[in-house]
Amino acid sequence: MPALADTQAAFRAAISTAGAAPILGRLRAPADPAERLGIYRRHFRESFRRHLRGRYPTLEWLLGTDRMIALADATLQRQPPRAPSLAEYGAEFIDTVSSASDLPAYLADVARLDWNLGRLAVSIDLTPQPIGVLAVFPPDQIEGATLVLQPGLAFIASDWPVDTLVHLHLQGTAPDALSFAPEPVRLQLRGARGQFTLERLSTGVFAFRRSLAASEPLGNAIAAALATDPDFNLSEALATLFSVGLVTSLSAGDTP
Amino acid sequence: MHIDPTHLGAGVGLRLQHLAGVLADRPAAAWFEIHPENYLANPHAAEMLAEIARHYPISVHSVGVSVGSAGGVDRTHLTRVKTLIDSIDPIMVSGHLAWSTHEGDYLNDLLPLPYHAESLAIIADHINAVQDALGRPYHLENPSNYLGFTDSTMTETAFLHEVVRRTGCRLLCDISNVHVSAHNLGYDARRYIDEYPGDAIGEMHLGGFEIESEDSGTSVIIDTHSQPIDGHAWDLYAYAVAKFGRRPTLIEWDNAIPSVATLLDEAAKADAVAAAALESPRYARAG
Repeated sequence: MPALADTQAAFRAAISTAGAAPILGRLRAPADPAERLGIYRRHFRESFRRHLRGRYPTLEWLLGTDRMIALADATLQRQPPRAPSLAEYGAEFIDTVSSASDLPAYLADVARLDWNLGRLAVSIDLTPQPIGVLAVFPPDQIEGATLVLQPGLAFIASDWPVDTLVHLHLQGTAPDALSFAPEPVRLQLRGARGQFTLERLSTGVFAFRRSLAASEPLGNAIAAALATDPDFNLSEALATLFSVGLVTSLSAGDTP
Repeated sequence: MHIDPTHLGAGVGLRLQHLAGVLADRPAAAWFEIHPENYLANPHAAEMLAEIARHYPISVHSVGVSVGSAGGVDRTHLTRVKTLIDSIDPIMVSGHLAWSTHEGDYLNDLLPLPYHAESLAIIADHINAVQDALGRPYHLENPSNYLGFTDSTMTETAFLHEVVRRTGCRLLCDISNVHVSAHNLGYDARRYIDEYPGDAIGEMHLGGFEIESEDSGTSVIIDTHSQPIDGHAWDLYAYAVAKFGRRPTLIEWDNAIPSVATLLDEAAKADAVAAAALESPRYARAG
């Protein structure tokens, strides 16, 4: 009698790959065991296809269903899910799109937008803080402070106006022909409780907010912003950051 | 909220698309069952579930705690499920006599097991570990099978008897799965019920299925959970209720998901079928 571990290894190989299955001789059914095994094989393949297609709606709209399915199958073969929660699976699909040499490079950025919009839309907004909380910090310590932003935020830079494609898809207003030319965009994605927004930011504000979202101290975020935009206006950026409710808490930095 | 589930009417599966409506409309559901895996990476849904759990009894039915995997139970996942369970204090916790992970990869299906001494020992160990980790009894559900294994040495019901004896776990008797497996593997569904360890049943399930023709001229029933409950399953449910008595029963619907109102109609039907079964002489000899 084969060990259970060997049986499961053979069964897994049989449902996740095409072709002959050595395990068939160990299966029984009052019908063709190969046909019955095909039910598990079909479910394995189609459940992941359905899941990944649902997570990348704009990409499927651009690529068509057949190509999406081929990319989904390639992702599943290369990087199957490692956690028993299907909702968490799918970021790996972006790598598959990036490595497909026949696809235009901007499609990987479209994939990043699709994935993050879906992920952020199930976030929850925390209670925002007013700008007055900055007053608790002595002036010589404020640059070491860390501003904690809302959890439903992501920042994506692209050399193409990929947000236009997402908007066209969402609004169902695609023209018959679209002139799509390179144009650097710095995007903030914000989501909470089933809703999301997609906003273009200036290079300085983008660098500032992205640094803060990465838990960098305020001083580092300011430096990052100034490095990309010498005209970065800190007062305005801070005022807006608080007024749109992005800051949820502050903590003092490490004191030397 | 401490509730004795044995006196509850039929409940319904609560899926993500129902959450907002349930919070807004507060339908007259006896209880809801949820899949914890749907909430682990969805803070918005978890927030709504916490609110719903303040108003309804909740049962937690895992599709990811793979007690049948030879490689062991994913402890990280179990810890996450426990955190959710502790936050909503469910009336029952359940999972499947199946395996769904292999060497750390998640296969997103409830895969079949051979029934023999080694698989029995492995599953009993895993259920004991799950019950120890959760601090609650685990309800083990009989699977819907499309095939069996030549090296099985015992029937599924004999296997379940022994699992219960070794672990003290409870059972979730999925009536539709009994019908599905009996059809697909060629055994008698009522005999399966007759041999089932009924004293251990803490919950029953009913779900819709679809029949497909096969190239060999046979047919197979696919456990799709995408349809109203079939007449064969209602009949077998009545038979089981007459034999074992009434147990908390759930209407499962996971694909082509209808409104909560439709689910509640099916739940009301389950209550009516159970009541009629307990009064009808038709099943008087069942026990």
